[in-house]
Amino acid sequence: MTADASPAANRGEPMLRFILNRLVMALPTIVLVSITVFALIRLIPGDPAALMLGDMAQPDQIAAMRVELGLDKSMPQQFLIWAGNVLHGDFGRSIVNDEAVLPLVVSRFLVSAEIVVVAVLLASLIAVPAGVIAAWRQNSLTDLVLVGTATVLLSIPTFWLGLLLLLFFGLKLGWLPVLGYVSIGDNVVGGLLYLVLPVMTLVIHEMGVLIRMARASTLEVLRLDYITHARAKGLSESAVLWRHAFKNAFGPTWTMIGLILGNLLGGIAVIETVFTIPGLGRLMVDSIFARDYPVIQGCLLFVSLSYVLVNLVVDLLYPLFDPRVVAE
Amino acid sequence: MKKVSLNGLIGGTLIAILLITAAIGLVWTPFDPMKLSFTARLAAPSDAHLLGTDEFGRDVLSRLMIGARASVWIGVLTVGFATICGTLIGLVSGYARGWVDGVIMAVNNALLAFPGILLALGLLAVFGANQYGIIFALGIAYTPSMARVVRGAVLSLREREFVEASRVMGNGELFTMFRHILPNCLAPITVLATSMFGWAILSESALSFLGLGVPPPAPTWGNMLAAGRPFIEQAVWLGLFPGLCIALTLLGINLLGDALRDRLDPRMRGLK
Repeated sequence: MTADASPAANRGEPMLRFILNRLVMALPTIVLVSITVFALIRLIPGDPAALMLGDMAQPDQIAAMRVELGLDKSMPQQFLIWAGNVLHGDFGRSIVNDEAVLPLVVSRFLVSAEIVVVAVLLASLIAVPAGVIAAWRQNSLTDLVLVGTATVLLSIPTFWLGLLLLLFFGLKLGWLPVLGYVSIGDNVVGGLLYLVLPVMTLVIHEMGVLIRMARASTLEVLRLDYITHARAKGLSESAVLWRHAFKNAFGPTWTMIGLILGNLLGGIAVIETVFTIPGLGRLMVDSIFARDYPVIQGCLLFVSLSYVLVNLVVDLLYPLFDPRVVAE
Repeated sequence: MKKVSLNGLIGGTLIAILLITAAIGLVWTPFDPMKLSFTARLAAPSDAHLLGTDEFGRDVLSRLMIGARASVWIGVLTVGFATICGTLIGLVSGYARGWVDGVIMAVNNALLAFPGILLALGLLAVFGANQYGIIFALGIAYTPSMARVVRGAVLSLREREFVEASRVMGNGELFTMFRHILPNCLAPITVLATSMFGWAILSESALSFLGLGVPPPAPTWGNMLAAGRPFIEQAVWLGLFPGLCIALTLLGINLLGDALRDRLDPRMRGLK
């Protein structure tokens, strides 16, 4: 009997348990990630209160900050005060311009997320079918060309690829804007033009990773007996490939897509630097230069928690592709 | 005996060229890589300057050779750091099990919950942006993956008969760990360390490109790209060659990694 045919009541309970299980498992990770971010900034040599206020701070300001941060209390208490503030949306204020950190981080995050999400979506749409076809035609010329191309794409650093595309489409052909950034909210067409090159860069790079992943996981499935069985009962190759092999092979690729989303959020600083985009990565790098510790801390916490969250959502959606994980 | 794969051959050749170039760069470069020449600013590739000169008239080829040295050196130290720390942590964790394993793996998983480059950026904020800051930051960021792989291998190995036999023969725990368990973990360690070498070189060049790496005037491929960026329209070679060096190096490592994995990873055997 297939999963689809079993009564709905029987499916509901394990599914609920699966979801609750994943949610509960994410909690310790979130706490540990927060402790790590807190500890990391505390590792910086010097008085945290003075660091938080910058070079221009007066002694009485530092004293007030020491009380606010609870530096007279024990480390665990300090962490709880900080975590309490964060839960109330208080990520502190920038040393450089006294802006509240959370709204700043969120506005920059939206710029980065726009690029990353579109890029990963496009890359998946092209790369996953390509990987499946490469696996299906294993060791043929098609396979060799696809895997070879994927390995080359994977090896080109995004910042160099970005520079080359900028040089070619921006400077030589003059088709696309070279410097600056227009928000898509302000001007749809103008905003899109600024997004083309950064998105294209990421798509080309991530395709390399995804083609190889999709190929490897499809290969593992194609060896299994049920595929031979499906072929033996006379199904067409495309039905075998897409209805039977692909459905089972997509799981690991889906997890990889989640990891790529999170990694890109962490590593997008180079792309934002090449294309002068005011995103989260650039904000973090600029704050490292400016020693703006509250902003560094805010970016670290925000990106790492988004990473945990993205992976959680990917995990929760996994049964859509592979219902077996619910039963385990 | 299996013959060397095409992947292994191309990858090995590329990496050999990198290592030889870095080694030659130790003792000889065509020009002094730091010497400024205002008469030869932004000179196109020619017989004298095979790969042209940069905005200060410095020879690009010589600087790329010194850059290769920096990349290899930072890569080796980073991977060495992560491999030694990760292997020790993984060995202890997998061998001790119980609460020691629980605590170590909780911390390890917390660090793995960060995208690697983000953790490295955060650590760079702590250590300061310079060559040794990068090595520590990347080394610490990569340690958890090594620890997890080694722990997994140890957990399955410690139940095997030959480990039991070593204990029965009266060998100490430490001796058993290093003499019998560690050598059997070398295959996954090698595969991961090879990929890590690639991650390290890519991350180092990305951080240098951002200005958070090795500070100029010392040349690295990353900071050469960043410095050449404003001039790429007049001097394409400044944007071309450093990136090509990074890409070819990564290609070599990826191909070599694939070849090693095919040969060493038991799960991959039988797939080919």
